[in-house]
Amino acid sequence: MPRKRFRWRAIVPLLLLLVAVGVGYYLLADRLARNAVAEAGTEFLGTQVDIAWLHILESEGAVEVGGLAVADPFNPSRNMVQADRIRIQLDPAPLLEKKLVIKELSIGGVRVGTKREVPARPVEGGGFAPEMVRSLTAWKQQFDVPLLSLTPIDTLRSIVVNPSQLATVAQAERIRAATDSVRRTLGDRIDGLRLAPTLDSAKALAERLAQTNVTKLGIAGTQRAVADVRSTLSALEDAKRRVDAVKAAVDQGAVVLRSEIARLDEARRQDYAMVRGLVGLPNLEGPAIGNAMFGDVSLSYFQRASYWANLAVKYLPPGLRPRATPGPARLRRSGTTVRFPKEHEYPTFLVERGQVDLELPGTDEEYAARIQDLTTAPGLVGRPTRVTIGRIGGSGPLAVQGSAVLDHNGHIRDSVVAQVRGLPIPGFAIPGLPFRVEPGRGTTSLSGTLRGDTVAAVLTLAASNVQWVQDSTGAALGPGPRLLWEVVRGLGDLSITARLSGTLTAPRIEVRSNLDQAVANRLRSLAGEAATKALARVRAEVDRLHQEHVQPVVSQATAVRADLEQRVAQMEERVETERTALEARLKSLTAGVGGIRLP
Amino acid sequence: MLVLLKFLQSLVKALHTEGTPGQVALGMTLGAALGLTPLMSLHNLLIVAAIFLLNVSVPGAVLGLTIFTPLGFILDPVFDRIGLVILEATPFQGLWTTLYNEPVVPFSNFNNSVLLGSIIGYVALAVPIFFAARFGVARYRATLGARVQRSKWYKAITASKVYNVYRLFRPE
Repeated sequence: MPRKRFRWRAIVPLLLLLVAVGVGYYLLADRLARNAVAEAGTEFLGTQVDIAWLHILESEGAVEVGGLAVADPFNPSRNMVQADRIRIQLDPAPLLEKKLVIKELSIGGVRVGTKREVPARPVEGGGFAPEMVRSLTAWKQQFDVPLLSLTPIDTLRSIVVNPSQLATVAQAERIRAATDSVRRTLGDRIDGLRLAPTLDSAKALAERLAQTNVTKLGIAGTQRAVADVRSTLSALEDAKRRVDAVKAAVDQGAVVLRSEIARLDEARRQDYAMVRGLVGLPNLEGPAIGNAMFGDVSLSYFQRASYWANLAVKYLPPGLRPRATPGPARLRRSGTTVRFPKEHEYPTFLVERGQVDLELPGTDEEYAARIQDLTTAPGLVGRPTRVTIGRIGGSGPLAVQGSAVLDHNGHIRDSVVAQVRGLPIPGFAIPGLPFRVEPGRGTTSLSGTLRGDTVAAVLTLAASNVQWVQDSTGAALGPGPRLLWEVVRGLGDLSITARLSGTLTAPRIEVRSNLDQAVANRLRSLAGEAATKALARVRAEVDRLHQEHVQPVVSQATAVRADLEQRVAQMEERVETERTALEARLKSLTAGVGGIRLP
Repeated sequence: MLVLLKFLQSLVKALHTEGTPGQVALGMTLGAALGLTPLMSLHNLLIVAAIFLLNVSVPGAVLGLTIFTPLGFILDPVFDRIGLVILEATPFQGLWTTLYNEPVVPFSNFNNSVLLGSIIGYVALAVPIFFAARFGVARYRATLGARVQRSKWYKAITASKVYNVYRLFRPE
């Protein structure tokens, strides 16, 4: 009997299995989706995301989410954002292509900065966002915000500095390496020119012709002489081209050495600050006071702005080239998942329109943020992502307004302008001092641009009814803090302006406030002559170490540069001399023999 | 221990069913797909359906899964490398872009390096696995099969309830 190809009786168990899967979906889909979304959101944002409930509304092609809480990645006891209800209206067709196109997103009951009942867990492991949060935490720490150290000046007896701690010494090492590299590379190139045979031959030919009577050479002899001169001139032209190429390389090397040497000034300023901090001396300059008092709070704002900017750069990449990302987490190796965007097709993720209703404390006015064209493939959508915040109900002076444009079509060109007026500004501590500021209601504004990797942003905080509060420890203030306390306690106005510039990876910050000069003057009076002398000693010690460890390297670099430039100049001069001499000889040869012009 | 026991059960069942060596070998070959490629993948749904619906040896498939799962883990770095090279190869960019933007196809996760590499590895190994398995089963039945069938532990396994469930799916 022939064997059957199909096992028909297995269909019933398979159908039962399908029914079981259907029942499992009905019972568990919402819960599984909620967990998956919370998990993906946590990985995506690098901070804990909680969702109270999630309903998949298959018949409506929509998803509803409630009780969303996104922890502040830099403050686990607070939520960055909390939303009561979210409705996501999906376009069903792209789902078949595993793409999420949201036609309408509506988020209601949004509050920011709310307190968490249970502190958020730090997000462990790799992934872009957790690593980005860690690097932004380190980024904030890298700023050398000088504390208002008020160590009694008369305790300064000696300054002991390990030269390896100095930025100038590290920079000197870089100069030494650059010098060695330039000397070796360009020295070899100059030696490799081997101009001596060409130049000697040219010289000998010129001298021989100078002693020759052209009329005695005859036509054939003169033609040979002209050919020799032209051939040698051609060799000299070739030599000149090679010398020019080496000269360009030497000029480039000189630029590198000069720029490395120029960086010593900044390094020396860092060294002054480092040694001053090492011995506990305050910086008595006004600008430094702004950084010291308000640098930390300004950085906290910029840190959050950088967090969003980094997310936008990562998840909204320009261009349509295939993109590789780590594969899904599983027992097997994750591998790499490559996405292949295509023109005129759906992007992997797109929010066509969205509205976020904001709840502002202490106001009945209604505000909302409107989002358009938020996508992971800006190159496919062709329009920048736009976010605008404004009032949608109520009247009175505007409390919140702002707009942001994320243009990632081709190049990254992002800009943001936002202002929050009349709402409470969170209080903050002054680093190194036992009191804090409670600004109360005031105005916070942020404006900034991101062009490629270059960032420029300005943050201003202004309040006119500031309260200065001593720490609750009850400890008596020392003489320094007490003096400062006397300066600031009566000041009701506070105005801080912080500027961020540079690149996302190496930004610079500068903070100014209306208190800088007053505090600086008080510090000077507190520190008095002893501080001035101590600061002079710090500078002298740094200068001494600089003289001892750095100056020889700079001299060497300067000497190498000068030597290379001189060698090239000598070669140029020699080539030019021989060329001029030969051209003169050629002129006399081609002037004609007996009135006949030679070809 | 449990894994070992399961393996022995699969081994015994596969080698002593009424199925032909070809049916057992085909079952093992399909089971190897489940073992060599990431299990929770769309294509494996088709493989599972094929195992149940085609008249192949289900214990053979379980045996294939058991043998090739550890091999899949071991070969993952190789699959990853092969898959990535093919995904990034310029001549295939048009194909991948088209497939990625077609309905349903992206759910296969073909654009994952390990999955694509393991499928390619499986396709390359499927025919050798089939013929090696068919030869091995035939040789076993001709030499050791009868002696094992008379042993007490074989009878214990075949008398168990699990065996009755298995009989639903044995080759006809």
